[in-house]
Amino acid sequence: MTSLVAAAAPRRGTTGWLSARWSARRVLRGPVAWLAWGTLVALSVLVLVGPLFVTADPQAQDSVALLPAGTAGHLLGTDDLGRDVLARVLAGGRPFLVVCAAATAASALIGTSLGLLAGFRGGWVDAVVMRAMDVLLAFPLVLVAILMVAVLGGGTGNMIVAITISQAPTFARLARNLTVGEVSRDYVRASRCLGHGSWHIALREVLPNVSGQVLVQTTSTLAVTAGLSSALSYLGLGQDASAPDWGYMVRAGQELIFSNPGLSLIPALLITAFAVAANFAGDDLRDATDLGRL
Amino acid sequence: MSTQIQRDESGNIQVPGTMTRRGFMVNAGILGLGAMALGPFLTACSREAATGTGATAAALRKGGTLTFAIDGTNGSLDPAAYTTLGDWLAVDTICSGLTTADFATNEIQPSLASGWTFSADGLQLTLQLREDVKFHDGTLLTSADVVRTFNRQLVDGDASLPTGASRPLRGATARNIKAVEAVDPHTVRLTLGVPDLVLPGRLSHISARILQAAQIDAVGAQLGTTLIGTGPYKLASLAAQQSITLEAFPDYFGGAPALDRLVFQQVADASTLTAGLMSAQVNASSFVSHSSAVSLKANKAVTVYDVPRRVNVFVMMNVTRPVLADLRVRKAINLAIDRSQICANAFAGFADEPKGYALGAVSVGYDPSLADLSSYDVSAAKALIAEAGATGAKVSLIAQNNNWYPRAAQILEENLKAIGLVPTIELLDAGSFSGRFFDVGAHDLALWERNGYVPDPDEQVGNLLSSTGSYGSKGSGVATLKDKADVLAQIDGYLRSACQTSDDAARRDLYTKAQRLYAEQIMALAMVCQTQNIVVSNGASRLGEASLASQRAQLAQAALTA
Repeated sequence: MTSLVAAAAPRRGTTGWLSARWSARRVLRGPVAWLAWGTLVALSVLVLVGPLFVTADPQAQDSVALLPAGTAGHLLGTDDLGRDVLARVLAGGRPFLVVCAAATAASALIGTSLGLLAGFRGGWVDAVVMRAMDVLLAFPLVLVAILMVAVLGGGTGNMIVAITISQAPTFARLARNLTVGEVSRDYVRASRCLGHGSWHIALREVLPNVSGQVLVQTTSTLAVTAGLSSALSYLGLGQDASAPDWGYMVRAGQELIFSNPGLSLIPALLITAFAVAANFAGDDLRDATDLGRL
Repeated sequence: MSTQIQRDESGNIQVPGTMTRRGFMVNAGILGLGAMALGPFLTACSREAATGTGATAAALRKGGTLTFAIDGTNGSLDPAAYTTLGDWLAVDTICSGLTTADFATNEIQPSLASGWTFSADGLQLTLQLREDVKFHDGTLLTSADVVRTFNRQLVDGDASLPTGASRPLRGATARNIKAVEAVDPHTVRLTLGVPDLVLPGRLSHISARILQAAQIDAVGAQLGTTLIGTGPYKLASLAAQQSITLEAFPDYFGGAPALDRLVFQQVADASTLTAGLMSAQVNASSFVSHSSAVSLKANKAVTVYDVPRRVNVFVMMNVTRPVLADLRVRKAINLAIDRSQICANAFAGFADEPKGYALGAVSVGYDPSLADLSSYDVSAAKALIAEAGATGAKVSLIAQNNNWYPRAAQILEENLKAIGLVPTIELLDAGSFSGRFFDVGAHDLALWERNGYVPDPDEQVGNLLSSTGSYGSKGSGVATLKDKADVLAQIDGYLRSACQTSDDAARRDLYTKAQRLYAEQIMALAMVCQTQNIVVSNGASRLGEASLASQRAQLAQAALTA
């Protein structure tokens, strides 16, 4: 018979996110995983460090425009306003990554907190929180994000808010369902018997045991936010038009797709690479946490 | 029977005949890469297939269907209610006007009216109608149709107007027609408030297309979906957000059209339109973006027409805003605009710098001595900004989020930064932009264009500079400049006088005076350039490209190439 003390021990040792099983060796299994994580790291390094090595101002215009790739001083040529394409590609990745990372983190934090609260407290709290999430989920995510940006206005900050509002319900629903499953387990009952308070049990016992799936969801959401961020920028709802941004660069170069395909295709390929890599990374994480096994 | 669960190397459950998520993603990725490689290949194939004898050199053939790409259709074709440019091109084709304009020569020519005369005091215009004109249902045109058509828009409270109809005929005729009467079955008399020799030209406007009186009374506000006219093509079908299909009208008074059908097809995306023209899926369009015209021009099968540049591009300055209330700031903004770069980079070379302020080289009244009103001088502009104490002042610029607007706006943003202002750009959809533009409480600077539907200088200068028109009262707010009331009255006087003489030299002199006075004393309108709507064809000819460059349809002679 299992003692109360033994039952109360958190299950971090088996599926918790601090588990030793989350070693790099376990996560990076196979070439696809290496490629996915490598792409994410490489793109991040490229846009964070790359601009330091490019002297051209990404916003400096020149009346001599549309220079081809390989032109002296312009490795990837210039766009239709004479701006250096390489400098814009590198600088345009920063707002993209910032929006993706911040919106994903905020969605995960807010959504998981609400889900944990709803699942742990139950009753009217559960009903109110989850019905509110259901209302948001009833609308197409892109539509919610566009409406939010239309109301709040463009800009990086508002894009993060808009995407967060559209993505948080997914985390809330996941965390709530996982929490409801966890609170009836022996270790939670044991913890109550030991006199631990609700906050302690929720944060120290339940949260570590739902965080694995939340983390997997986070990587999947990273791909979704990449798409949403690009879509909003593409629609002109992102930053100022002259500021480099991958999504808007795809749109701006679209009219020149037949004569200067690189203007659109380079940022489009980078967005695609990021989203696909995030998806594969999420897939890899799912395998690493055993969540795919029955 | 084995019930053992199959797993892959990662431990995922394998169901026979299905694909794992990872497998799906890998295969989708391969498919996507394949599609990307296929795109240029197919485009190249279509180019090769279409390459051959240029359209202009090819023989024409009788019959067939010409597909003309438009910006959009709302599924309602009514001269009394503007919806989209595409819808109005269809209205222009289905219906005829009393007069018509030659956009290549600026001449106003007879159409449904065979001739016209002004009374000695210039307050009455009498028009004689052709007696051989048939509507699409076979009935003959009479003066009763003209009277009913005009009164539908000019008289308040007409029950046949759709809800929200803007009744553009009133503005197009300068709100000057006081009465319309039928003298006899083929003679119509218009009574005017003040003499206006431009009126025959104004009657060629799309809003003045002649409708059938019986149909107006029979269908009322539903006229837009069953439009009957006297034009070369009759309405066959229309589907909102899709297309408008017209069929040739063999009894057209100008002679049977060469085509069997004319389809106005909505193509909203610029790159889709370019691909459609390259592959001849689309035969013609006047909605091609300026930057796309460069790649289209390089395609031998496609013709990009050299047409008159009558579209004015300008920055409207809202004088009711504190920072823009100072004439020195407005003049500085005018001096700061790098028009050369905008013409080259935002319009891909399909634009001219405004040497004659609001009148281009193809217009009556063009005066190159006004070139100094649109000069580029950053140093002088910076000095004016400093003198006005506006260095560091914030200004916003609104523009549409399509075609050349974003590029021009970004150049303007840099120009404004260069003189010490702190600009922000707001790119809006066309509907939102229009609402903001005509609301002095909703913008500082606005980048827009004016497309003249009639090739007369009053259509540009008269509308843009008049203190009583929409631009002066709602766009720039100059009508509120009490200390400039005498200047505004003087300008309005010049504009009015210019419409009361038919002498081109006298008109030019009056427009020159009006424009110089406006630029030096008011300057709420910085002219950026004169451009054109890009007209392109592949497999079609005789499109009336000079008129299409101003979004007017004169497609009676249009034909497909053999």
